Amino acid sequence: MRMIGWELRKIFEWKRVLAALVFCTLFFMLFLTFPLNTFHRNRPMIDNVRVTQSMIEKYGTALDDGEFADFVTFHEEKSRQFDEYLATREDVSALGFSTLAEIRNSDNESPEVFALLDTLYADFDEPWEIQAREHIIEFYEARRARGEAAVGDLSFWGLMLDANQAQRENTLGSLEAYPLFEGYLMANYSEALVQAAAMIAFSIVIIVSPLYLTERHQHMLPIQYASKLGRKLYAKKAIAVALAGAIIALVELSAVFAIYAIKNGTLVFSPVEINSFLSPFQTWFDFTFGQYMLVTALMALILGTGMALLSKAISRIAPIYLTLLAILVPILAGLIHGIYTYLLRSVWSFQFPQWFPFVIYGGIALVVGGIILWQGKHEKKCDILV
Amino acid sequence: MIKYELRKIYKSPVVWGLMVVFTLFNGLLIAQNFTQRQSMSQLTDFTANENVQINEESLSSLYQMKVEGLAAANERAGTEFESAGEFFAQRRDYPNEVRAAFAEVLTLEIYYDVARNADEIMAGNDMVAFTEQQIAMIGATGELADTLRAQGLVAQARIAEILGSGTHRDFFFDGVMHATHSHLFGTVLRAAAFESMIFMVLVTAFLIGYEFDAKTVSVVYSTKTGRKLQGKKLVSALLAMLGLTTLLIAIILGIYFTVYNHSGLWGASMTSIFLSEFDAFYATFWDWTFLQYLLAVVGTLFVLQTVFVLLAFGLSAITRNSFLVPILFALLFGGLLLTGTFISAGSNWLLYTMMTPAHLLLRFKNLFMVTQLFPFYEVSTLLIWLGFGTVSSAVAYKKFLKEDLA
Repeated sequence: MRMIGWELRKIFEWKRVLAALVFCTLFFMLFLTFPLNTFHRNRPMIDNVRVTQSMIEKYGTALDDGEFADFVTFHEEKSRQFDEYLATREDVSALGFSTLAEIRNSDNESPEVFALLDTLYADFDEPWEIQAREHIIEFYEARRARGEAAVGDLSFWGLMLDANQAQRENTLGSLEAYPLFEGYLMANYSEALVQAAAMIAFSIVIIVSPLYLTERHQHMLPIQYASKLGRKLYAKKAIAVALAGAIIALVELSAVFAIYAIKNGTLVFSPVEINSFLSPFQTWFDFTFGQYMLVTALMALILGTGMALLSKAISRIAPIYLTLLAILVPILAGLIHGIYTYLLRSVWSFQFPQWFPFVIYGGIALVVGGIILWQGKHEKKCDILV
Repeated sequence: MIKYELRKIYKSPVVWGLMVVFTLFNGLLIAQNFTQRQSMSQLTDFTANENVQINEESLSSLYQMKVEGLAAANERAGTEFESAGEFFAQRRDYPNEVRAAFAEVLTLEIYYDVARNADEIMAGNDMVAFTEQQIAMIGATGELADTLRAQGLVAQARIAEILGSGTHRDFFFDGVMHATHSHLFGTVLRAAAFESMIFMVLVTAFLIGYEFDAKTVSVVYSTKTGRKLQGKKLVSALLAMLGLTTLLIAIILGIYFTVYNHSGLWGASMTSIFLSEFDAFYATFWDWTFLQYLLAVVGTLFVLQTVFVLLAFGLSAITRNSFLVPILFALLFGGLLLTGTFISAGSNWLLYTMMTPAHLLLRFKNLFMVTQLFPFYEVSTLLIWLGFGTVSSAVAYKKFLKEDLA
C-alpha cells in the first residue's frame, strides 16, 4: 500500500499538474462554456425546457391521457388570451390579422409581416411558449399513434426502424403515461459530457504518460529491475496509475457536474425517464435522467482509467519522449473521435443493438487489461537495458 | 554537425511511423468526396478539350452535350422529358442505369444554367448585407463595426472589379454540388498543416532535448563551440521541416490529384462563379488561377511551419524538457484562440487578436479570399509572427550560450 502511495506522489508531480490545470482552464473556456452557460439563455431551447418543467410541477414526471386533455385546454385558453391581446394591437389589425396562427401561417411574404413576427417574438414570451406547447401536443399524439399502429410500418423522426426498434417504439407508445423529458436537455448534457471526457483524456496524458520516462531519465530502472521486489513494482504502478486515472476523471467530472448543476438548472429533470416523446434519443433501458447521468459519468471514468493504463503501457516501452508522444497522438485522436461520435454520446441509443454498450466497454476493458497483463508477464524475466 | 542532427530524425522509426499514420488518415479525408468523383469527371472531360472560359463557343458546346445526353437518356428510358430536372421532379421508379444517365444530364444542366447566368449570380452577391449579418452575429459595435463595414465595401468593390474584368466567367467544379474548395483547402490541406505542426513541434522538442535526455549535456555543452550546437539544431529543425512537410504535402496532393482529376482546370480563375458553396462565397483578392492559388496556399503553409519551428525552438531552449514543450505549445495555441474573448466587441483590437497563426490555421480555406478579415491579413500576420519567432529564438539562443546547465 505504501509503495502505491509513493507512486501516486510521483505521478502527481506539481509541474505536470499545473500544466494540466492550465490546459483544463483553456479547454473549459473553449469548449465547455457554451454547453454549460449559454444553453440556458438560448431560444427556443429554454422555452421548451421551461414549459416542460412547469408541466412536471403540475402533472408529475409523466403525462397520461387525462392530464394531456387538461393540458390541451390549458394551451387553447392561453392561446386565446394572447390572440385577444393581439386583436387590440393596431399594427396587427392593420395587416389584416387577428390571431398569432394567422400571422404565422400567412402566405403574405412581405417584409412587414416578417417584421411584425420578429417584434412579437422579441417582445413576448407567449409566442415561444405557444410554439413549445404545440410541439408537445403534436409529439404526444404522434407517440399515441405509434402505440396504436401496427409494428410493421413504424418510422421515427424520419428514421427507418427494424423489427426490434419498432417493437420498442410500440411498447413505449402503449404506455399509460409518457415521461416528460425535453430532448434539448439530452443534447446539451451529451455535449457537456463528451467535452468533459475529452478534457479528461488530455489531462490524463499530460499527467500520467511520462511515468516511466522520468525514471529512465534518472537511471532508476536498472536499480529497480535488479531485485525481485523492484520487478513487482510494475503491478503496483498499474494500480497507482488506474487510481490516478480515476482520481483525475473524478475530480474533473465533479467540477463539470457541479457547474452543470448550478449553472444549467436542469437537475429538476433527474427523476424523469429519458425515453420521452419529446426526445429523439431513445434507449433500450428505462433510465431516468439521473440514472443516465450516473451511468455515463461512470463510462467516462472507465475511459479515463483505460487511457491512463494504456499510456502507462506505452510509457514502459518508449525510450524517449518523442516515441511516447508520437504513439499517443494517434491513439488520443482515435479516442477523442470515438468520444465525440458514439462512445459516450449515443452508445445507449436504440439505433444500436441492446448488447452494444456492454460489448464496447467490455472490449475496451479486455484490450487494456490484456495489454497490461501481457506486459506484466514479461516484466518478471525481461533483460535490464540501460 | 547538421548532418548528424538530421540523421537523428530520419533514423527514427517513430517519425516514419507517424508519417504512415498521418498518410492513412489523410487518405480517409481525401476519400470523403469520393462519391462526387463521377460527376466531377464530367466537367474535366469537358474542360480537357474545351477552353476553360465561359464564352459563346464553350456554352454552345455544353448546350450541345446537354441536349445529346438528354436525347440518349430519353431514348434509353423510352420517355420524353424536356430536362433532367423534370425527370427527378416526378417520383417514379426507374432502373438505376436510367437514373444514372439522367443524373449525368442533370449535372450538365446545372453547369449550363450557372454558366449562362454567371453575371447575374456574381452581381447578386451582396457583401454589404453579408457584413451586416456578421456584425449582428458577433454583436460588433462602434469602431469595430465601422472597420467591418469598410471591409464589406472593399469586398463589394472587388466584386464590381471582377464583374468588370470578367474573370468570374471560368469553369470550375461547382461548389454547391461538390464543395471542392472547402474539401481540398478546408479539410485536406488544413489537416496536412496540423499534422506538419505536430511533426515540427515533436521533432524540434526532440532535437533540443536530445542532449538532456541522453545525458550528454556535460560533454556537448561544456565548450563554447559545443554551446553553438544549439544554433545548428535550429537550422536542422528548419531543414527537417522543409523535408518532412514537403514529403507530407507531396503525398497528400499526389493522392488528391490522382483521385480527383483536375485536367484543364489548372488555369481556371479563383474568382470563378462556380467556386462559391452553399453557404459561403469564395473569390480571391487578386486575379489568381487555381494553380497559382494552390502554390500560394502551400507557400503560406511552409511559412506557417517556419513560425511553428521558431516558437517550438524558443519554448524548448527555455524549458529544456521535451515532454513539456508540446504541452506548452498546445497551451499557447489554445491561449491565442482565446485572447479575443477578453476584448469587447466594440474595439478594433478584436481583429488584431485574430492575427495569429492559430486563427490562420483554423480558417485555412479563407486564405486570400475577399471574405478574409482584411486584405493582406495573411501576409501581415505571418510577417509579425516570423519576426516574433525570430526574436524569441534569438533571445533564447543568446541566453542558452551563457546559461548555467547544472
